[in-house]
This record gives sequence, C-alpha cells and structure tokens, in this order.
Amino acid sequence: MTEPLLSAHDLHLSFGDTAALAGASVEVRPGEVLALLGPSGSGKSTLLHCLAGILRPDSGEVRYRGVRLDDQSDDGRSKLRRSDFGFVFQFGSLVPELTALENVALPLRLAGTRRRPAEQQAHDWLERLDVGAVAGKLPGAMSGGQGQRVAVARALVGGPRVVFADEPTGALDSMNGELVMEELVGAAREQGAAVVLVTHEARIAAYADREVVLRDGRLTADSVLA
Amino acid sequence: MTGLPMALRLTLGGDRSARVRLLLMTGGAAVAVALLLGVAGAAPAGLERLDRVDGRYLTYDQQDTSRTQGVRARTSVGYWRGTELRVLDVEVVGPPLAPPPGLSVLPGPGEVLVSPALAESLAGEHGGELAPRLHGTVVGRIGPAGLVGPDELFAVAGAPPGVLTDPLAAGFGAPRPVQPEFSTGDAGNGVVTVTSGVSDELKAGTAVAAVALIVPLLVLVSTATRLSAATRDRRSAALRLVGATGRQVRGLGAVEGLVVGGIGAAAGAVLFLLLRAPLASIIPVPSGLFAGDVRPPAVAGLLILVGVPLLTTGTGVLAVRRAVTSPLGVRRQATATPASPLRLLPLGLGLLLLVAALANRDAVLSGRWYGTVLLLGGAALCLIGIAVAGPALAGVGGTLLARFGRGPASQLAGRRLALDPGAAARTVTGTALVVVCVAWLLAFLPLLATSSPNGRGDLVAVLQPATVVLGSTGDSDATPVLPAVDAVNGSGAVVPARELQLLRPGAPAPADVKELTDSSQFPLTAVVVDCAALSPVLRQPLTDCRPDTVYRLVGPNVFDDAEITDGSYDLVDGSTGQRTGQQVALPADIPTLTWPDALVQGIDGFRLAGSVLLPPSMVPAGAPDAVLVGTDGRDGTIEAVRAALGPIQTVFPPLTAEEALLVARSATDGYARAALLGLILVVLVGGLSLAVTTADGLRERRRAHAALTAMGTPLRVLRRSVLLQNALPLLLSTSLALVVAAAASWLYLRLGASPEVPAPPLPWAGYAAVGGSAVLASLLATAASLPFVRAAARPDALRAE
Repeated sequence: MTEPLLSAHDLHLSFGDTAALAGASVEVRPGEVLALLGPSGSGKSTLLHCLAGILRPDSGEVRYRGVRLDDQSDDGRSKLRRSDFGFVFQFGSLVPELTALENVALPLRLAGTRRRPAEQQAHDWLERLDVGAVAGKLPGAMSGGQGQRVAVARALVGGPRVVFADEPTGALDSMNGELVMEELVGAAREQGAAVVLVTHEARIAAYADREVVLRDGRLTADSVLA
Repeated sequence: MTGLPMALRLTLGGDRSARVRLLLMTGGAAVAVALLLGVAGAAPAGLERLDRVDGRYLTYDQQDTSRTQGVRARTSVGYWRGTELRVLDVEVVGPPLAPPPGLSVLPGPGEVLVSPALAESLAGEHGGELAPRLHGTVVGRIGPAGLVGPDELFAVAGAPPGVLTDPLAAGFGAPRPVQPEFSTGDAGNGVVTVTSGVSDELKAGTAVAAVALIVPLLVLVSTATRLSAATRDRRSAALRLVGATGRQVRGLGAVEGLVVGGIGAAAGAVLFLLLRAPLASIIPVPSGLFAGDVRPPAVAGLLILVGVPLLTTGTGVLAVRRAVTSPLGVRRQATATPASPLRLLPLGLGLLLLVAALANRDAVLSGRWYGTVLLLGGAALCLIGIAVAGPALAGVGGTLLARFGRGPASQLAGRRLALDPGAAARTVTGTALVVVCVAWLLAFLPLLATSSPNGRGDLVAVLQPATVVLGSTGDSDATPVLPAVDAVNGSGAVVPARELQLLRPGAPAPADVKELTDSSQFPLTAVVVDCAALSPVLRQPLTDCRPDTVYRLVGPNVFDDAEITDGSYDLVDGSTGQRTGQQVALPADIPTLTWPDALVQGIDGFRLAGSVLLPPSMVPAGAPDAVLVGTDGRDGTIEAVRAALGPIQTVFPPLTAEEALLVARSATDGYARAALLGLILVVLVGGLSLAVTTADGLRERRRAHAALTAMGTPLRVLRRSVLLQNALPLLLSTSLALVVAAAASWLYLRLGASPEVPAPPLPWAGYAAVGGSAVLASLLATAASLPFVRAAARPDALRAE
C-alpha cells in the first residue's frame, strides 16, 4: 500500500468551550482526491486547516511526507504551504486589489520568481482554465465562477503536491460549480497533486476518489468511491 | 421619527467589536475636541492674562495738579539670573487706598509683598542676592489675581515718605495704556510696560500656525468618524437592499455621526479641563500661565462644541453615500473610481497665481486689490491644492510602485494604493499641510526677527556673554558706584563709556546744535572710551589699540564722515544739545580703528556709535552714558555686579549680553518654540490618525490577509506592504508640501526684497528637519500598528462567517 502523503492522527482542537476536533484521524495518499463530508459545525474546515498547517491542533499529530508538520514553526509551515500546497476557498481567497493575472502569479513571486516569467506562467494557467479573458480584471469585476477558476489557477500554478479546497463551489450555482470542480480535479490529476476537498454536497463529493464523513469532530465513515 | 430608535440601536448596540469601534470613534473625536479647545484657549492666553495686571497702573487726573492725597508708585524692572524681576514701590499719602488686585492691603513703609515664585526664589540657595533688591522685609504674598503668571518674579514694596518723587495719583486700576509695539520702556505714567506688542507679521504667522494646528485635528475627527467604513458600508447597503430608503440610511449615518460627535465633544471638554494645567505649564510664555488662563473665548468654545458634532454628522451622512447610491456595488465590493489627474489643477493654479504675484510685485506691495488676490489666492489655492492632489499623488505613486517595485509587498501595496488612493491620502494630507505651514513659518522667522527693533540682538556676538551692560544712565551719574563694582569678587574690566558731540571748528553757534541745517556742519559724534579697557570684554580684542590715541571709527554701520579735520572742537552734551563750554583738540592724520558692528546696533538703551573714538584722558571728566562690566560668568558675580549698580536709576536695567540676546529674541523665539510645540502636537495627532486608520484597515481586510497567510505569505511581506502603503503617499505628499512651501516662500520673500535688503535664503536645513521629522514620526506611528498585522492575518478569519 502506498505511503500516505499527509496524515493526521487523533487530532483534538477546541475553540473556547467548543470542541471542533475530538480525535480525528485521516490519511491522504499521493494524487488522490479526498472529500471531507459532514454537516455544518462537524469540524471539516478545522480538520482541513490542521492538515494544511494553518491551525495547530491542541493534541495529536499531523505528518507530511513522514515529517511532523504540527510542531514546526510558523515560518516553517508558511514556507511549506508556499512551496507544496495550494488553496481554494469558498470566497475571499483572491486579493481584491490584484488583477487575476497578478493573483495567480503571486505564489510564484512569493517564492522568488521574477515578475515576467511568473506572469507568463500565470497567463498559461488562466488560458488553460478558460479565464484568460479576465487576466487584467480585478476580482470585484469578475463573476463568481470566473473568480473561483482564477483561484484554482492560483492554487495550482506553483505545482503543489496537495491542493486544499474548502467549499470551493459553495458560492456558485450548480453548473458553474461543476465546471470549477472538473477543472480543479482535472488539472490536479494532470499535475499529480492530491486534493483535500471540504464540502457538504454529495454532488461535489462525487468528484473524489475517497470520502470521509465527520460528525462532532471525529470520522464516522471512510469509503472508497468507485 | 420612527427611524431614530433603530438608528440609536444600530449605533449604540452591537457586539464587542461594534462597541470597540464606537469607543475608538468617540475617543478620536474627544481627543480632537480637547486639543481644539486647548489651541483656542492657548492662543489668547498670552494677551488676556495682561488684563489682570491693569490694576498695577495708576489713575491720573491730568487736570488736577494740586492733589495732596493719593498714591505714588514706580516700577523698576531688572533681571535676576536671567529672569525678569519687577518691583513696584508704592507710597500712600493720606487715608488708605484700595489695593491693586491680588493684594489684600498695600504694604506699609519697609514692608514687601512678593509673588509665590519670588518667595520660592528668596527661600532658595541664592535668595541672598535677591533680598537687597526688594527694599524691605517680606510680610506677605501676592495672589494670582495680581500676577501675569505663576512664574513671575514680582514684589510690591512700601516706600518710606520722600523716597518717591513721582506725581500723586488717585488710585490704582486705570485702563492699560495703549499697548506699545515691541517696547519694554516706560509707558509714561511711572509704570514700565509689561510686554512687547504683536506685529502684523507675527499676527500673520499666528494665523498660519492656527490653520496648521486645526487642519490635522479636523482630519482626526473625520478619520475617527469614518472608522470601519467598509463594515458600516456593508451594513448600510444591507439595510438599503431590504428596503430602507436613501433618506433613512442617510439618517442612520447622521445619527451615528451626531452620537459620536456629541459624546466626543462632551468627553473632549472634560479631557480639556483635566489637561489644562499640564498644557499651561508647557506653553512657552514669559512668567508662565495659570491653568485658568488657557480658556477659549466663549464664541470659539461654543463653535468647537457645536461645530465638531455638526462636522461628524456631516461626515456620517457623506460616509453612507456609496451605500445609498450603489448598494449592490458595496455588497460586491466593487472598486472605487481612481483619482483623476485633474486633482493636480488647483495646485498648479495656485503656483501660477504666486508667479503672477511676483510679476506684479508693485501691485502687491502697494496693496492693489488684484495684487492681494494674486498673493492670498495663490497661497490659499496651494494649501487646498495639496489636500486635493493627495489622492492623485498616492494613486500615481501606487501604480508606479506596483509596476516597477520589487517583490510582492510592493505589488500588494502599490495596487492597494492605486485602487483606493483616497483612504491612503486622507491621513497623510493633514501632515503635509502642517509641513507646508511650518515650512512657511521657518522661511519668515528671519524676517520677523529683522523687522522687530528688538531683533538687534547681536550684542552677544561681540561682547563676552557674561558682560553686564548698563545703558541709558540718564540723569544718574554712575561714577560713584564704579569702585564698588570694581571691588566685586569675580568682576573684570569696568568700562565707562560716553557719547559726545563735537561741534566743528568754524561752525555757527546756535543755541541748540539740533537747529543746524547745513549737513557739512553737523557735529561729529564721538565715543569716549578706553579702548584698551574695552578689549577684554569683547570676544575679539580691538586691533592696534594704543592708549591716549584718537581713532577714526570704521565699520559697516559707522556713519562715514570724510570731513574730520584737525583743530579744536567745542563739546556738546549729547542729550541736551547744549554746548558745555569745553573743547577737545583733534590731531591731523587720525588712524582708523575697525569698530564692531553690534556695538553700533546695540540694544534698547545701549549703543556705542560715533565717527571718532576719544580716549577719556583727552576729554574733561563727566558722567558715563553706559557702563560695561566684565565678569567671570558666575551667576553670583553677575548678581553682585547688578547689586553694586543698583543705586543707578535707569529705565533699562543692567543685563548681560546673553540676557540681551534672550530679550531681543524673546518674541521670535517664543513663536519658534510655539511653532515647534505645534509641530510636535500635530505630528502626534497625525501619527494617531495614521495608526488608528492603519489598525482599522487591517481589521477590515482581515479575510484577505488571512487568505494570503494561508497560502504561505510571510508576515514580513504583509508588514512591508502595510508600511509601504503609508510611507509612499507620506513621502510624496511631504515632498510636494516642501516643494510648494519652498516655491511660495521664495516668491513671497522676493516680493519684499530690494537691492539694499536682499531676500533671506531659504532654510533648507529647516525644511529637511521638518519634513524628516514628520515622515519619521508618521512611520513610527505606522510601525506601532504593525504588531496588529499578525492578529489581523490570523487564519481564523477564513472560518465560516
């Protein structure tokens, strides 16, 4: 069996008196698309944030490629997120002041790539996701579907090993939602990147290879989809 | 009004962050109101307090010369360890009189009442120096009602009968005599005037300074009222989208503004009362200020307490205009329209008007209406232009930064500036306006100094600073006290000097030389002084000074009388213009001696000016007009010399060259200090605005920052971006402000210049200091808000709404 790329073991995390995670464990294998399902407040987003190194669990451990992620410094985790991870959120993930092209080029520029080659790559990705026409537009001037496709391009432009998507279609209609999912999953598969997808829609979860269900902060089901 | 309860509920209710926001807004308005009241109260404090000493003046009835009862009084002004000391000697003839304010009863002969500051000095280590100057025994205190300020050294001494020879007056409490301009001399009724007046230049400077102080405070009020604009915009838009009318939403904005302004004004008034005493203690005026002196005039106070809530109400209405007209745009966070380059127009027009004023110099100087319009219109347009141009500058700067700046931080900051230049420019504009006003003041300060007679303060440049100068001895003959002065331990050269007029050989002999009309027969003016004795009290000893030698004096301001012939000259008393019946013989081929210019310029009551220098041995003995005494510089020595000179009755008390400089510069130095204090105040206020706006902006944009952090953007990139967003518009606006100030000052200074009086150079070092300190302080204020970046960029904001 393939070694897990990313794993969480017995994670606990509380916000005040509210326990968001209560012993959650999960593994993500290279190239697989994993859907985290569950009702609102079940801890899906919190688990995703812990897996991505955004949040640090109160207890338990997160390992990425066999190395503990949760005990790394803030800077170390930031660097890892920049180099190995990509993100798509439900809304607000694009920097409102930057154009679509600049938003997509941003991770490359943060990693030290010069402006011109970074923007060239960004442009290629926008074309690939069929949003080349909005390259010069600001997020406020795009439709929701265009904005999310730009966000997908930004998540993938750096060649990540894992893409984290938190309700990536939550603000879209079903047609646009499916388009975005197709592009996200398709492009990730081409890149060989794993996708960790948080959703509460079975329709979106159907794009995954495997789904796990959370309830009250712990996994209640783990199933491989056909 | 059905909407009012809802508006109050929305303004005062809400969660913790809403309450914090309300607190910040009212706090900002309160600070601004307190400072406005302070500025309004401090400006007249220096003049109003003089009303309190009206009571020191005597009421004379010019018609009644046969008065046999009443009061005689004489004020003598002196210096003690660099501070002015006033003693009012009084003698009551007949029944007791009502005392002046601050006194419960007039002192009897030999009794002295003293101010608290004087009492403290008397009780101090050097009190022994003061006691002999008070003419009696201290028996009580003078209350605040009789003092200029808490630090005034003032005494009222009861004089024994027969000591005072002044005419009898009915009593105290005459209206203050016409306020003299710049004079510290006798006002004509036995009372030496308390202060110097205020020139038009200084009044203009005060007006500029007042604008410089008020503008940033209004910016602070406006900034405070617009805090969390985006959150409130979204709230207003939501109300609009569920059916609220534009009027209702504007009403909500107005109520919120009114609540903020009303609570802020009330809290500001309380804050002002609490801060009044510390404020009074730091305002740099001679003798200090009582806390009660810092009191805004009723109209100004009312204007502030009513005006600020009105301003915040108006700002509140304006703040919701976007939500009213385009609620969907607010919901979608559509971008604002970029600033138009047309915003540079007023500034360009202002500078053009100033150039036109220079081209029409005659019209401006002669006060023609269009000259005044060009000059004042140009200045006003420049100020308005800087404020209006701010967003355009920030926008252009942002675009260039995003295009050419290195790294993502530059790109983030540049784009943010280009998209919302107004927000960035709002707070830095206040700082820029202040920089302009202070830079203008800096350019005009040398003019103020030279336009004031007291500006002749260069004596210290030629005399040793600790040299005691006794000038205008008048009818008193200082000769008898000179041995006592010479005997003071630590005193050096004692140099008596006289001024004589020499009537030319063959000149007609009118009864009064002042009646001479032929300039070739005007008498020569001679300084009688032992130049060898004078040298030690000068910083640069006189060269080639030989004893018993007559010199022709040369120097930049010495009247160059080419006709000095040998022969016998009649001596004329310089003050009366009458011949003394004595002669002095001038030899042929008189050598020249370079005479220090500052001795010719002198100070009030003292100058040594003439065409020739005569050694005392050549002229018959006479009372000196002035005495210079060298000292070792110790305060004790200087006070002992003063005490030894005490019996000489003079209008201008003995003072050191260093004190003369302080007196000469007191007016302009006071304004310079006030300007500096004002600059510190406005930079603090500007910094406060900047820090609050930055912190608020971080809070408003926490979701975008959280998303950036989530994707691995280092905090240092976010911090650099925040810093750049403030630094770039600040540098641009401040640079523009300095360029405008330099250009306008250059033009103004040339308007009044002539070939004889060239315009003073622009104070580039001062400009650099003002601009640099404003930028540095503002950046420090921004840096103070950087710790919030970590909190504002926490990924928690990415969690569900």
